[in-house]
Amino acid sequence: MSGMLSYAPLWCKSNYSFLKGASFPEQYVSKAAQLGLESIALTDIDGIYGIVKAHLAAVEHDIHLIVGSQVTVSNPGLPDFSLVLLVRDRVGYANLCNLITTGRRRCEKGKSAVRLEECCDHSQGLYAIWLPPGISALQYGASTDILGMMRQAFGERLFMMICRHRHAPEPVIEARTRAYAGQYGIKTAAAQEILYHDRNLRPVQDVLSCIRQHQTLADCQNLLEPNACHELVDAKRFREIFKDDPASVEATIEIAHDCHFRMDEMHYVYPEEKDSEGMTVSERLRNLVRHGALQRYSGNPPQTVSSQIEQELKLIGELGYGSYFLTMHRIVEWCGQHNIMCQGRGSAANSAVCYCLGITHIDPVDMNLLFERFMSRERNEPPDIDLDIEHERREEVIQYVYRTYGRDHAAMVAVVIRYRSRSAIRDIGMVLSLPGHAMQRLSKQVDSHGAVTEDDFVRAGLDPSLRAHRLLMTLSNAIINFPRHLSIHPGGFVFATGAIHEMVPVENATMAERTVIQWEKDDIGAMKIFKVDLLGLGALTQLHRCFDLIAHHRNTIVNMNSIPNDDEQVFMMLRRADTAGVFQIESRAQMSMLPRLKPRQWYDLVVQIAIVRPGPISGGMVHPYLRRRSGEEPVTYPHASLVPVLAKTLGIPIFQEQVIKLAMVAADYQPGEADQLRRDMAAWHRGDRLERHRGKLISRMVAKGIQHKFAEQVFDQIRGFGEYGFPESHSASFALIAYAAAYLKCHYPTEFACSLLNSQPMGFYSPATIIEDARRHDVQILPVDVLQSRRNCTIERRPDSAGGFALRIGLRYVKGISDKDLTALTSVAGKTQSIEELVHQTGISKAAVQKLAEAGAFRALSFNRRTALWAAYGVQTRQDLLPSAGSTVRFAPLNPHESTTWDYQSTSVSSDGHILQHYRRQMRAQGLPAAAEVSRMSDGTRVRYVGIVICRQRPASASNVVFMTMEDETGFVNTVLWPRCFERYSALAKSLSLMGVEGTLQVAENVVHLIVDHVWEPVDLIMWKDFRSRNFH
Amino acid sequence: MNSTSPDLRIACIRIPDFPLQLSKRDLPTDFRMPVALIDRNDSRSIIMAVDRLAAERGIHSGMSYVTAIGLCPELHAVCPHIKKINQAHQRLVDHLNTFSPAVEPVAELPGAYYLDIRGMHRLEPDLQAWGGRIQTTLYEREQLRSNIVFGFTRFGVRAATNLTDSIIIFGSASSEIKATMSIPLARLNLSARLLVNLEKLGIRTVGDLRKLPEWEIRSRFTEELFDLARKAKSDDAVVHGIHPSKPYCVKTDLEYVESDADQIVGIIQKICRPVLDKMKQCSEGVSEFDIRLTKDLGGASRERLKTAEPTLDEPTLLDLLRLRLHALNLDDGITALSIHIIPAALPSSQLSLYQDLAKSENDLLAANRALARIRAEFGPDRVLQAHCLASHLPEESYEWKLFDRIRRPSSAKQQTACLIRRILDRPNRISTPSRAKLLRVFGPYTTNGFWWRDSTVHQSDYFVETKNGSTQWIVYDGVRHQWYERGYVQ
Repeated sequence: MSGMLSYAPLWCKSNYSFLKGASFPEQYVSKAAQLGLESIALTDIDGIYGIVKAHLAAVEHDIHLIVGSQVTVSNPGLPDFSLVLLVRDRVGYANLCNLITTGRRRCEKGKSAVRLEECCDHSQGLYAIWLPPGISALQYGASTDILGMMRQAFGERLFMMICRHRHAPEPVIEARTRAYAGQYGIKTAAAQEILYHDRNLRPVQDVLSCIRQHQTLADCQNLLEPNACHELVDAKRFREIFKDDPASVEATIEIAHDCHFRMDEMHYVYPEEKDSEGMTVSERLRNLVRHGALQRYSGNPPQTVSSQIEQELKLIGELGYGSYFLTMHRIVEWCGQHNIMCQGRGSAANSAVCYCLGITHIDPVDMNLLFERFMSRERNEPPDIDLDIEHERREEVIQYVYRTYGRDHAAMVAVVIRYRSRSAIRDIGMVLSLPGHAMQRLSKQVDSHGAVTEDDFVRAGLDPSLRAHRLLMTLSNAIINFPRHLSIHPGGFVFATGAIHEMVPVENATMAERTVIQWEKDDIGAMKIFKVDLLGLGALTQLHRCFDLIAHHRNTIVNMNSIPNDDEQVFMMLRRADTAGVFQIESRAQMSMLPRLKPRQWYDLVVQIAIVRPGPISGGMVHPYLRRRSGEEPVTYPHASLVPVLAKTLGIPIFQEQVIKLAMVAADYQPGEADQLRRDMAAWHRGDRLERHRGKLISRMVAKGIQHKFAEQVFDQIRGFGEYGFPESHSASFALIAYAAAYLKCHYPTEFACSLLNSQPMGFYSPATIIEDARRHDVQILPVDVLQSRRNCTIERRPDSAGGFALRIGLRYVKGISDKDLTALTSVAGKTQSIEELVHQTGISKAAVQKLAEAGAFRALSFNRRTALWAAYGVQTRQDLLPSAGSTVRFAPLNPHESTTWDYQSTSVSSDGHILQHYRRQMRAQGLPAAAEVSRMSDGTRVRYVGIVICRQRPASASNVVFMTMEDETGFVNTVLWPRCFERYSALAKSLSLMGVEGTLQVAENVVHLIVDHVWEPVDLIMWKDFRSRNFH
Repeated sequence: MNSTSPDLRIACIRIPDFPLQLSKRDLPTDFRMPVALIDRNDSRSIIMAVDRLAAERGIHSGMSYVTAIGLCPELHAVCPHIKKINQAHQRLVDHLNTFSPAVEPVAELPGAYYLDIRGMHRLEPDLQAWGGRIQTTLYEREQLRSNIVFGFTRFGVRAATNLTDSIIIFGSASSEIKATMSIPLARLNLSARLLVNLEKLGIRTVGDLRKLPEWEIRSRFTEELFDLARKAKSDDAVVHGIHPSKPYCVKTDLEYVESDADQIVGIIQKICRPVLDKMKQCSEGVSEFDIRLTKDLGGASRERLKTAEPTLDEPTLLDLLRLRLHALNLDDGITALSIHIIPAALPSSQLSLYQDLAKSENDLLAANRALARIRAEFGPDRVLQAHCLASHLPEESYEWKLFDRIRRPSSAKQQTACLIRRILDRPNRISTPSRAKLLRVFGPYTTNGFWWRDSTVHQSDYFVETKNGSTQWIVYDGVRHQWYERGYVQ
């Protein structure tokens, strides 16, 4: 279509305007191409959140994308108004980003306000279009010559917009606009405010407007657009609307032609790491790697390592990534200097350079890891290094990064929170004025990652044929995946040579001292921007604390380097699945696998961590691997060429790298194809992209002489991996931490439990279960006590406890005590004679005194808990004028059962022992065995068992089978409820803390499962319900 | 015990789970799902009460609704309906007033009432039977189950309503005390937080509470508990009965057929005067007349007449009556009059009016009296006021509301408009406008959508200048495919 007959839509708001536009940026671009338009502008409100996605679509459809934004201007004494700013050139882009950053940084999250003067100061390279609603600002702000200032700043690049949406007030506004335009000699440009690419989305736009304004449709009528004239129309229709004003239409084309900036003009350059000694980046990197290699290999790196390092350094130099590695090294080095444990994970562990720089701790050469998985010339993508840091000290590292690189050069990556079915139901239900409790019931029935279906309504007891419910279903499904609001990536940082806010706008995050860019991870990748992930890992915090405790109490230095990797006692413990609290291998599924996999060396842990994942499980790889490992099945390979790929996992693909290599070797995938396969596997949740590889993979394998049946099987395995498969390098990094944790649990159970409790929340088990597990390992548990306890759990010398040390529960476990009160209590620990004196010394609140009394923390002051609580109710705080009179009321002490119950209620843990130990005699009389006895019973035994439910799981890969872990004072019992059984007893199975089950024991390879066929509530035994399980996570 | 002790002084009747019983009454009789009463209609609601089926599924009060439906997906939730509760409460008071001269609602416990039964033994020697009759009455008329306790103190009878669903009659004050000792505190409508704190100390029953020194309770807990502890030890039996403001009713059969409005007003004045005197003693004024006129030829008519505000001012009342009756066609003649006078508390100023003190002529009251006269003459729904509404549809951008009274004006922004759109009460259907007859056309201005309603809207409004100089406001209805005149521009 020739330019003379076309037009350029200059005011389009996508759903990245957050609850305003109703179309994705890609949909606008695609529709514009379909309508034969040459250009389209994306002008989201106070941001360019969707611009990268629009850019990628524009490249695909070969259409000119104009970068822009609708910017909110707020000046004191003037009504707020908005301008559409369009980017003409690179300078204009930087100015737009700068301006948005200024507006956003000034305001709280979600708002923006730039000053008129700032717009004028950043006018270079930008077109400004005055929007019709801003006319009121001109009328009420007559004292400020707004248009005069803008005319002077923007010159011929200032336009006034003429809009025609068939709204009744528009003719008056248009007349005034034209009058102002004439007065100041400003040209006019025609535009429609585009809110959706197709008018069928008008209802979606209506409900989004309601959600934004927290209103129902019934209450929101005049806040919605009055008609559907906000769709993207073709040139003929547009020209028809403005047939009396062709000059304004031509102006849109004039603007579009002059806005020649394209997003791919941005050349991202990673900031160069400066060196005070004058070395180049390459020289410095080589130097550091050489020193690291000498340290890692005791002064004598093997030839294979040296050649691998050379190869990597060459590629890093060629691609110009040296500074990136130096940055990572700088962060790791700073962590080391400040005694913060950290460790690289993911594909970085495939790099010998990372290993030598101390970023990772896996020797990739020794493990024969694939470097190309990390970096490749063909892929030409920035490397992605994820660094795990002790979770409680990660903020220190983040602030160090801000300090070192400055907020102008470093910012965190965003995460766009999108609608899922549940959130969609909640918001649309509100808009349609449907009862909140019915929506809650419905949202419990839907698949959180799927669409809302009629079946969901039926299951929730709602009639899906009702019109309101049909609307709810249609609209909820329509907004699934729509951006809801911006959040912050858990640890993703980007760095820029120039000011980062000239590359992408930066705004405030909710958390203090955090700033976030307007792009998310995928946008960063598409723009080839380097990202560093600084992730918090509780397990590292725990290890560090444990090492410190050992050093403090035993005067023994234990660290990651000193732990022997062939400790037979540790492997025996692992084979017994005695791994509660051990990083990565503590879940019920992992514990069930350990006795079958029977780890005997560190690498077995690498396999163990990777094999209990949805990918290998749904790919059917677990049982063949176990059979081959136990010698029940011969190790065979479908083709001789696959031996090198699959040899270390006995012919079964277990790691993600093996799947990629398998495609390359068996189906002759080229590096580019293999990389695409990796991306498609990673994007499994966005539709079945792997299907497009099926034909290619199978036909090529068959052509290579591999049986069709096996080729199909291999493809199924690849697809299984798509759901979630672990790379070997990642698994190996985790295995290092897991082994260290297992070593500590085995040899230092008191310090292990203490450090785990002090690092909470983390891991799989509740503090109560951790304490019970410690007790079963002969660790003596001491109660919380105001005279003895510190804030955290501590270790006290007790010869009768395991290893000569006992664990004292810390005051932090007393629920409901503020941080301020905790600090005050810690400062006077051991120096008080009475409750009154304690309150006088510390100034703690009355509520805190009551909580301490309930927890039994005054036991050293000779009170029973009830009497202490009565005293606490009557205690006078520092604010009270008169001291309290002593009370003569005395209460009966708690019985042992009550004492344990109070412990759980007030601290979630108990030093007295497990609640069920008080009932063991009665349970024995009823023929109910303890967990330890169950574990010794034989296959097929009928068992009635009563225990506390500590975990309920219904994994997606297990076809609605529910797994419950139950516990008593002697250990765990793993129960399995088939769907029919769970359905029958769902009310009990979902709600009971103390539960009775009956079923048949299934024992195989030391793994014991109780297959439940009957569930009951042991009401005659105990009435106790205050125990929290970990449910359906 | 079948005979009534002359010492018995007070009874307490209680509708257990009153709001839940009321809500369940509205459900179909064959409804068999578990039901729970929730505190509000949103996802954060808390269960307030449950029926037997819900209790059997482990649902209990205090549980969050989210947790409850996790346990029992078929749980049916109902919200308390304040208006219905108030209405039912009023009816219950009326029913109970037929059994006892003094009925007092129990504070903070909806659906519970004290009855004064002093001297009742003379009228009702068998209290068991009397209580049964009360229960039957409430069940037959309101479908509400109840339990009743006859005893000696307010605390005792109220607490004992928790003991059982049947009728309890205490033989002596000591037996009442003994029975209440074992009543759990959890059933005495104490706050959940307070109950938890007491439970921790092992104080679970009224008896446990009585053992504690009162002054120590006061320094540790709420005034509410202190009061309860005090009353548990000693309480009175006084019932502070409430007397509903019932309409006064006067009626007369005329000795002849009367068709003269002034004569009828005179009759009304005569028969109402004693009532007005009585109302003056009770500081009540007339807020409304409900007049039933029986016609000579059969049939009746009913006229309601509201005053500007409660008044006993005879000239004002007569003026209103005169205006209304003169507006009626009384040609058929009236043979009987029945008048209900609806009372309301009289403002103090009204008393002075009654006493013929000086009155301001040019004031708000006078304005409102004038409006009352208009209503009296033309009907109660004839004084209306337009209110603006937020809507894109012109016909929905205003509504007429009954104009109650003139209030003192507040300072409002002065608005100037050079063009004023006037909208017709009802649009006129017109034929397709001819361009030839029009000088200029502005529009269309389109309003469409409203997809969430039963019928969608598609209207295109135009303002057209005609050759005679007027500006018409016309609209094309795209759903009916029809042109209408909506109004004009002034």
